[in-house]
Amino acid sequence: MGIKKNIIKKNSYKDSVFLMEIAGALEKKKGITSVSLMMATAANKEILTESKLLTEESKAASENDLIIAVDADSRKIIDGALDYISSAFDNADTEESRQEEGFSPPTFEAALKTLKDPNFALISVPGEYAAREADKSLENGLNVMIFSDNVSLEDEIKLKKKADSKNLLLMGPDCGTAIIDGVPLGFANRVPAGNIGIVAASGSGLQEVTVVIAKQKAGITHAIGTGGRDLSREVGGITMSAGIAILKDDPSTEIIVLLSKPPYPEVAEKFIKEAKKINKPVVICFLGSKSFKSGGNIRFTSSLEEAGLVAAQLSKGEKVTLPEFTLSDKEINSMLEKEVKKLAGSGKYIRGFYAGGTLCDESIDIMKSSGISPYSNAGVEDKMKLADSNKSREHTMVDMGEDEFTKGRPHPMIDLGLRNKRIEAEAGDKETAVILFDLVLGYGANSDPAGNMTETLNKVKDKKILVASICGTDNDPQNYSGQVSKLKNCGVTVLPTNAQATRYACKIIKNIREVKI
Amino acid sequence: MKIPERINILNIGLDRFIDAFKDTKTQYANFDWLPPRGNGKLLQKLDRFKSSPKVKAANKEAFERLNNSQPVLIDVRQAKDVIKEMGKNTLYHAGPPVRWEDMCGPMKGATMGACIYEGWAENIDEAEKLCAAGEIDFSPCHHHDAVGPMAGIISPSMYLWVVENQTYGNRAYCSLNEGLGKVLRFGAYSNEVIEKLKWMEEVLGPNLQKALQDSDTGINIANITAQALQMGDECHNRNVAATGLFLKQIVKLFLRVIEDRELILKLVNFISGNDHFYLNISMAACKATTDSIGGLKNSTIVSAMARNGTEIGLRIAGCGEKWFTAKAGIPKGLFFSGFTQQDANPDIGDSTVSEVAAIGGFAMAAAPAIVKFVGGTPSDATKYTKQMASITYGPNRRFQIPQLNFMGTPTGLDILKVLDTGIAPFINTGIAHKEPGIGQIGAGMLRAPMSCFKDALNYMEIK
Repeated sequence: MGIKKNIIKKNSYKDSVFLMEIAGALEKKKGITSVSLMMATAANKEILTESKLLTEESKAASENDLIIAVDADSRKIIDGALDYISSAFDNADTEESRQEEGFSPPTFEAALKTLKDPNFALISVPGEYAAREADKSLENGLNVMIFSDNVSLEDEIKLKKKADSKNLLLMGPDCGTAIIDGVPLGFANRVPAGNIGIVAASGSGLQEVTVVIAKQKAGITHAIGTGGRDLSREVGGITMSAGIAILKDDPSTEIIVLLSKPPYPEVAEKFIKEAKKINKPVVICFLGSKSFKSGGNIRFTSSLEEAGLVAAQLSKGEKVTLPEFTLSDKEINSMLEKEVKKLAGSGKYIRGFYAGGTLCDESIDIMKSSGISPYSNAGVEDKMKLADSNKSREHTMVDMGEDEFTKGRPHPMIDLGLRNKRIEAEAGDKETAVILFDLVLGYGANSDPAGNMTETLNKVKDKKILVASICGTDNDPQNYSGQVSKLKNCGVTVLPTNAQATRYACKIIKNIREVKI
Repeated sequence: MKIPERINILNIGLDRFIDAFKDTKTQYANFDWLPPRGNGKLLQKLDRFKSSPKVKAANKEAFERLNNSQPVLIDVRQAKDVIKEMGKNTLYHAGPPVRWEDMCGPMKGATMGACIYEGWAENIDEAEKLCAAGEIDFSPCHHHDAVGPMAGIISPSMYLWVVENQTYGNRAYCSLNEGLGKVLRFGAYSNEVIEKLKWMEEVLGPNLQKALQDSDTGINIANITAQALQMGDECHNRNVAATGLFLKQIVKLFLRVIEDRELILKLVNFISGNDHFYLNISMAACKATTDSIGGLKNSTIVSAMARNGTEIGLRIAGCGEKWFTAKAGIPKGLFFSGFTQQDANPDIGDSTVSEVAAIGGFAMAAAPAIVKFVGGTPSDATKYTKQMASITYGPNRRFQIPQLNFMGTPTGLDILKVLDTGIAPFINTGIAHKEPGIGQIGAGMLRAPMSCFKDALNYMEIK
């Protein structure tokens, strides 16, 4: 014989269908003969009487009261049923209403709940709020990428130490690019999986290296961004260390690439020492810093292109050769001669306008090594700094992603308007010979940058030599090949890498000088 | 340190990055990030409060009290009989304190109308002189355990609903609803308005009193509200179902105590002819409920939110009777023919006690019939309710919304969550004409201003 029990919840209205659903679920459980949850109206009490579930004390219940009537094998089963009922009452909320199409949960906490096993946060809110969101993410056990800039150095150090102590990865702030487990984060390209792992203190640099690797039919494991300030004296490369530690122990990573704009010298030394201890080949590219000597497992490279090529060739086990151009010298020379004629004797300078900051740095490095010293708003010594970034002077390289151009407007990878205007103006300057630029594809970037330039390029193509490279792959949303054709149709010479485009531009300048002599 | 096998990512900020997650079939969540409110110092205080065990415990207690309250309608009494401190020339009004000279049009209209109704003035000119001369003692309803919709005027002769919170023993009062159109609470004061008030004093009030005093148990209001939420009411801007449910109860009592069938018919006609008749009963119940958390030390849950047509005021449980005020906003709405947004008076009334008690705008998803107020579709209404869930302590255990898989209505408006998310609470409201004497011109919605929430946190200290 079972035990019958009635529980009365005074003044607890619940809808009858809602109650029946709970009762139905309970009746399927073992040891329960019958269950009824009903408001104690006269009619319902009669039903309970007929099913012999109503006990004496329930007869006095009013229609505002809820009767829970259970007939079960044991007291323990009844207690279990009551627990089930109270949790059904409490939790009749979010489970199913969570993931609805088109509904964005309004808060961090609510959004987090919709994820199964959340482990990463990508933060791109305005800088003044980014640290707070990052801290919240770390507190919730998430690895973090802070895309936002304008986070204080103090906050950066604090967050990085906190991440370290929690054994979590914190990329950024001002980390534009990362690829983790094949997932592009921020401004990043779609590149194949492979055995090369990268840690980079540069966004567009990381994009260029991964794209060069992809074009060599090699691939990557993870591309970890550190943020631009990580290798400063103050931060001391906390994220670079964490990144190296991850890649060192990652069995899929067989080659490691470390990438940075000029690091603080002691920090650079520290990483070189660290790299030497790793049981894997390490390719290092510290753009613009003094050259180090390769040896052992370490290969120093002087450009992004070289870093990508060396890594790709190591990855495939091939001998490493580094051509100046992918095309033959003959092809290059004949292209070049045709273009120089276009100038008809006027113009003698390179004018470069870049969306990718590290690409601009790479170009400046290459130009310098060809004996051309450009003025710039980017990483050059003081005497070569442009007094006004809007006015070119002799050879000029402008990083249009610098703060002075992005205050109150989108980055040039997204909005090409400002650069188009500048290119048009520059074509009117008789001193301009070559207009050099980059296009950066991938997630986050403009969906058709070449298409956004055609009008401008068609206006200037007969006046000046146009040279470009496109950082992207055919798997990117914009499609690399399609973008190349669009530029070519506008009379632009498109080289496979930014390094080659820059060398080509330098070659043109030399050619002009020689013709003049 | 290891990179997880598969990354499951929370995107905080730019939407443009989620394309990559879609293309790579990566599990992600995106949310409508809004900047938190306040400067660095206030945000630090916010984080300190958020992590304080004392605040957490106090807010949990507040949530429990809001859930456990049992507001029961037990009586109808004249204001002067039931509010002991009510003096002779006294008028109570909606919202935080306001002086005559600062009152908005409809508040002045209702005030003058009440002076005529009480016989303190013969006509509107006399009434105006009386008020301007400082002959009337004004005081907020909220200072006397009471609430009133719109202008919320309570004068000594008016009958009030008496609702007792049977869990905590406190009582709350609210005037009887006059109906729609030209009514005192919207600032109208013509003869027909005064005559109706007289009828309510002479006929409706005494008979309701007789009926309720004959009931052994009173009428449990939270139960009617819970049921009405499942019938398409949110019990602030829609009270059709609740009024019907109430009528079911009161008719039985009328039939027991009144013999005159004509009279019963008149009473029933009056109640059933006004779809908002239940609103004032509900407001008294909400007031009885929310008063149970007033003065709860360290709690950051809002205990009162009310507007007088000039200012909106907040009370926080942990700050007792202190008001945090800001200029009242102007609701956006739908208007009766002949009126437009330009005619709308700033936000007015104590009816936001509904939202504080987890219904009204917070339960918008329950009332698809009135979603036109919030942008048009039931999914808009759902969005509002879910948004409110993120600035409240938790789901109500009694008030459920079937459409949201029986989610409990968002309960316990927390100033910390409001500031943290940048989401201001959503308010449903009737709209009065800004000139005195005209009355209701529409209904609509707005959000409470952020500054009161900031002021409140600035003021609070953990004790």
